[in-house]
Parts: sequence; structure tokens; C-alpha cells
Amino acid sequence: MLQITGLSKFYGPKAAVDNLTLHIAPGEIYGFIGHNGAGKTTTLKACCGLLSFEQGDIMIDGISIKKQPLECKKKIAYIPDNPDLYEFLTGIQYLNFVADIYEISAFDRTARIEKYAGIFELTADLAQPISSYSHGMKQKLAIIAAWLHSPRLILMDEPFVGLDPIASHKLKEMMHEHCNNGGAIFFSTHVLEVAEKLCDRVAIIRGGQLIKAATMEEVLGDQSLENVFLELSQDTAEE
Amino acid sequence: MKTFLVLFRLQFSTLLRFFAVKGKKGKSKAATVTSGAILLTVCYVSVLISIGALFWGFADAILGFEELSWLYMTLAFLLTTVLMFVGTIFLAKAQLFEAKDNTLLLTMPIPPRLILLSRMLSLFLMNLVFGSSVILPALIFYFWNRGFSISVLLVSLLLFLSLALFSLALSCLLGWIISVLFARIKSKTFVTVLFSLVFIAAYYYFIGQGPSKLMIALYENSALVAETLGAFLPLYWIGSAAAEINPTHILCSLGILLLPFILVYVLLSVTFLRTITTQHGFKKTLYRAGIQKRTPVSKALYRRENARLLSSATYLLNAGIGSLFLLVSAGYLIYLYVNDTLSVLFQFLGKEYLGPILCAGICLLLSTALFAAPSVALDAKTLWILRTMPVSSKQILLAKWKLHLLWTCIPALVPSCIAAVLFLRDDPLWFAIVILLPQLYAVFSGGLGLFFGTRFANMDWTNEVQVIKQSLAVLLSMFGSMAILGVFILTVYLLRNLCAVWIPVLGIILLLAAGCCMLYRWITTKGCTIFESFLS
Repeated sequence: MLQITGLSKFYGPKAAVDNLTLHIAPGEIYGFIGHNGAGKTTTLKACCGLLSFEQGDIMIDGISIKKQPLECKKKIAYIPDNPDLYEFLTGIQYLNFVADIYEISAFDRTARIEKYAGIFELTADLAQPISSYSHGMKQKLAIIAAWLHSPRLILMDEPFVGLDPIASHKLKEMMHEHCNNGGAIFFSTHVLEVAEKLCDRVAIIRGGQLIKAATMEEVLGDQSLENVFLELSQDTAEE
Repeated sequence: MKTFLVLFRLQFSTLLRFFAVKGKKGKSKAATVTSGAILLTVCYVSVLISIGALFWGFADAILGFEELSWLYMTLAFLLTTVLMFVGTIFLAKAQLFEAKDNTLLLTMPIPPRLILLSRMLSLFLMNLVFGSSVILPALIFYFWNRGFSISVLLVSLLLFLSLALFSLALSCLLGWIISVLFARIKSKTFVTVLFSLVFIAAYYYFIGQGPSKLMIALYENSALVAETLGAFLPLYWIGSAAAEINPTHILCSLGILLLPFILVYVLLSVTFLRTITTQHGFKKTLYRAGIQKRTPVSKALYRRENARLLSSATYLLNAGIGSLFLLVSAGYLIYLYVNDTLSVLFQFLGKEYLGPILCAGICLLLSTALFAAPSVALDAKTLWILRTMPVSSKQILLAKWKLHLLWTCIPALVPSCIAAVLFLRDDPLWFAIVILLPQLYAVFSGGLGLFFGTRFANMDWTNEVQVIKQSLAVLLSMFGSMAILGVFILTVYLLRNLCAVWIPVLGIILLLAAGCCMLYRWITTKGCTIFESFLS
């Protein structure tokens, strides 16, 4: 589904991401963990074509993001950690805009909007301008917009920030449903307990470099993810 | 004091960045800074010359009478105040109460009055720039007639600074009143646009009529003008304070000018936090579930651009004023036709110039329609949405060009068709040219705006006014279009004795068409590359 091979991204002399290689298969929920400034957001943005990169390649369903970005973008959806949306549109106008870009039929979009807006209890607010939405409502709208075109791969940066517990639970259910239907999810999070319970595989990044990538069982062993993360981070710092 | 300086540096650097810095990488380009500085200097000098001509007339009418020196100074200070007030009235509300970093700064241990003061100081500096374009020529002509006097200069400068504070008080007060009132209105954009249009109409009426009527009155009976203005004592005091160095009048003038500023500052300081943070609830619009409609991608992109335009009073007014003028000019053409004004004029000039002058007038108004130039930078905060979607940069940029075309080509058709039907119906060639040339110019100016808007986009704004009114892209777009138009007009004028007027005009049409093709090519190649680099 997603193949990141030797990805390197530099900001001046500093490598934000350094020779990262990662593979995500269909049906996987893949967690991406790292300290602040480790390179998680840079990696996610590179995967969805927001950032150019100097070395390596990213393939989505065998298509290179460098060579065929538009084809790749048809298969993905991205939810940033702090979604700035079009405040001058209402919720429904924004969803229709997204649906228009992805060329979703009138029938399909109507059904999906009804379904996902109902899940997040946002239906009543769809006619309000986004400028009147709280942060959590904007997050929900961004999630609905991401699911609207049934992407193969969903990339999320700290998706649970700003969501209330019910919405978080609903999002987890949607993530499972998406992967059970053959899709994949690649998301970054600081909430290690969530990653521990949700993810099939996890990658730990530090200083732009991958320090561990494996199934959750292999990574955890007898420990909690927090302990593993702290241990690995310490080991790498000592090196 | 330290905190205030930090805030003021922040304000000032944000403004300067628009002329010095490109994009998120923060690279400054000397060529960009230089060209921006040259452009601004040219604009400023042009305004100085225009106002200088006015004060030349005032000096000629008034300064021959020793006892009317105060009147000259009063007129200078009055005009200075008007220009400063008009220059900042639309900025005050946005600058003070709608800056994106207000919330951030208010969560910090910074007294709100200092945040307010730092913003007012930047408006004050703008007042000085606007006002200097009046006071400088006024003083030059005064000293030219009366001889240089250091005391007159110093008192005039003191009063000038005080006037800047007085004008600042007026525009900030009005901005506050509008902010407080509009918080209770749901359709802010519509009301703001309506209010602004009324203000602009009044401004242009007085600017159009005022100076000429005043000049006539001064030449015919300056004593009567003096009596009328002098009846309002503060006006007399301010004029005589500068002209006669009257200490009592100086003190009274300073009191009258500074007291409003102090009162307004106190009022705004006390209410600043509440004004920014108060939100009034409105009745919710109910969402009615139903079958949603599908729209083609290009139309969806255009609709997004249009929705953003209609949601922002600042954008709509600043960009659309040219389109509005086009519609108004159509009425003016009918007025000219009914009064048979143009035929009298062109009997003198030559009828072959009727077509070119009508085209030039319409194109000049098109130069002030600035929809495309700010549209790129306005996408800064939400660029991630389009850039993660399967839509090309070419489609995105062409949608912005389309926005410009739909808001200019259609309004331009109105005066073009009226001009063609009323004045050029006997000349098929000029009938066609007066319709075609402005349309082509609208396409060209839109492409030029998009070129500058992409090339000089600064994506780090905190207040959309900085993008819409104060950006280099917008300035270059407007003055660049006007400069190109000026070159065309000059070419037609210089070739007038060598060939028929329609020949160079047809050449201009071909050049415009070629220009449109070159702009299209740039936008869809290099422009797209630049657009894609914004987030990288």
C-alpha cells in the first residue's frame, strides 16, 4: 500500500528525515511514534505530496508520489494535526467541495455525508459556517472529509487531539472498519496507550531516523509501549 | 517600555516583510525590495506633485493677502487631516481588532493597552506618511511665497504630529464603533460593503467637487472663505498658530488635537479585551438533509474562490472597486451622451481619438480591479487542502484567473457596449475595438495580477488586510497594469502624425493577445512550480 524507501528530507544542513524506509500493507493500522521534532509530520507530509524530498521515493499502490502525484492523491486522504479549513464555507459546502474534487457522485456523497456526520453528531451543524466551529468540530469535519472519497490510505497527524472521548471511540471504530475493508492507516500520535491498543504495527522515529519498526507484539514484548519508547530513545541518545 | 518596543517591532516587521521577504523560506530578494521601494517612491512623488499643484493654486489665491496666511495653513491642515483619516479608516478596525495574533498576545502577560498602543502606533506612522504628502507641498509653497521661517516650520510640524494623533483618534473610534455594532450583525460582509460604498461615494463626490469649488471660491472671494472657516474658532486657531506663531492659539490647538486622542485611547484600552473576545450568538441555520449536487472540478474550484471573495468585505471592496467604477462609468457615459459633452470635446481634439480615449478610460478602471493578485497568498493557511487533493496547481491557478475574468469582463462589457452604441455606432472598426480591447485587457490584467501574486506571494500574514491592501503583489499588479496602459497611450500619441490611430491600436491588441499567451504559459509552468514550492 505505502512504500517509503530511503526517504531523506533536509532543511538546510539538518536532516528532518534521514534514510527512512517503511512499508505499510493493506489492512494495517500503522502507528508512528517519536518525540517532538523527530520527523513524523515531515514524513506524513512527504507521503501526501505536501513536501518535496531530496532522496528516496514514496510509492502508493506502486505509484510514485514524485512521478504521478495526482494519481497518488486520488488514493489518499490527509488529516493534519490542526486543520485550518475554509472558514468562509459552511460544513456542508466544504464537504461538497471535497466531494466535487474527488468526483464523487451525488448519491454516494449524500449517503456518506449522512453516515459520517451522523457518527460524529455533526449533522445539525453542517449548515453553520466553519468559522463558528470549535476546534473539535473542525477536526470532526476534517475526518468526515477524509473518509468521504473512500481513500485507500489515510494519513493522520495526531488525529485524537481535540476530539472528545466519544468521537475518539467512533474514530477508532472507523479506522478498524477502513482497514477491514482493505484500506490502511498511517498515523502519528503522542498518546502511546492509544497506539498500543489500536495499531497493528508501529514505527519509532528519533532525530529523523527510524529506530524500530515491527508488529506491536514484537515491539512490546512484556513491556508497555511507553517503556519501550523511553528505552529506545535513551539507547539512541547514548549512541 | 521593553514590552511595548517588542510589540511595536513585531508590528513593523510584519509590515516590512511584505516588501522584503518571499514565501515561508524567508529569503529576501534585493531586486524585489528595490523594485517595491521604487514603485512606492514613484506613487508618493506623483501624489506630492498633484497636491503640490493644488497648493500652488491656494498660495496664488491666498498668500497675496498678509492677513489670510492663517487661512492657507488651515486649509493645509484640514486637507492633511482628511487624507490621513481616509487613508487609515478602512485599516483601523482590521488592524486593531481583527489581527490574527490578538488572541495569542492577550494570553501573554502583556497589558491589553500596550497591544492596542503598538497597533495604534503603526497606524500613526501610516498617518504621517499620508499626511506628509499634503503638508510637504503646502509648506514648500508657503515658504516659497513668504520666505523660510524656522518657527513656522517647527510649529507646523508640531501641529502636523498632533493632527496625526487627532486623525488616528477619529479612525480608531470609528473602527471601534463599527466593530462593536457589527458584532451584533450576522451578515457582516454585506453591511460592511454597503457602509464602505456610501463612504467611498461621499469621498469621491467631495474630492471630485471640493478642490475645484474651493479654488474658485478662493479666487473670487477669499475673504468670504476666511470668514466662513474662521467662524469655527478651532480652525482659525490652528491656522494662526502656524502662520502667526500665536502661543495661545498653539496651546489651544494642541489641546483640541491631543485631548480626543487621549480620550479615545482610554476608551479603547478599557474596552479592548471585551471588543475582541465578545461573540454574539445568532440563530442557527438548520441543515436540511437531501441529495447533494455534484459540480465539475473546475467549477468547484472557481466557486471556492468566489465564496472567499464574497465572505470578505475587505477583499470584495478592494478588488471590486474597479468593477463598481466600470458600472458607474456606464451611467456616466450615458450622462455625457445626453449632455452632448463628448462631441464638443472631440470637435476640438479630433473624432479619431474618441475610440482610443474611451478604450483607455475603461482599461484604466480595469487596472484597479485586483481579484487575482491577492488570491494566491490568501490561500496560505489552507494550502494543505488543495495540495493534498488530486487537483493540479494549474487548475488551482486558472480558477483564480477565472475569478478575475468573471468579475471584470462582464462589468467591462457594460460601458464598452454603451460607448460603442452611443458614440461609435457609425464606425464598425472602433465599435468592435471598444468592445474587444477592454476584454483582452481584462484577461491580461488578470494574468498579470496572478503573475505578481504568485511571484511575490508572502504566506506569513496575520491579517488579511496585509495581503489584500498592503502587499507588493497588489501594488505591482495595479501600477504595473497602469504603467503598461500608459505606454500604450503614449505610443498611440507619438504615432498620431505617422499613421491612422487604429493601426497602433490594432498593434496593441496583438501585443495584449501575445501578453496573455505568455502569461498563460508562465502561470501554467513556472507559476505552478512556484506554487508547489510554497509548502516545501
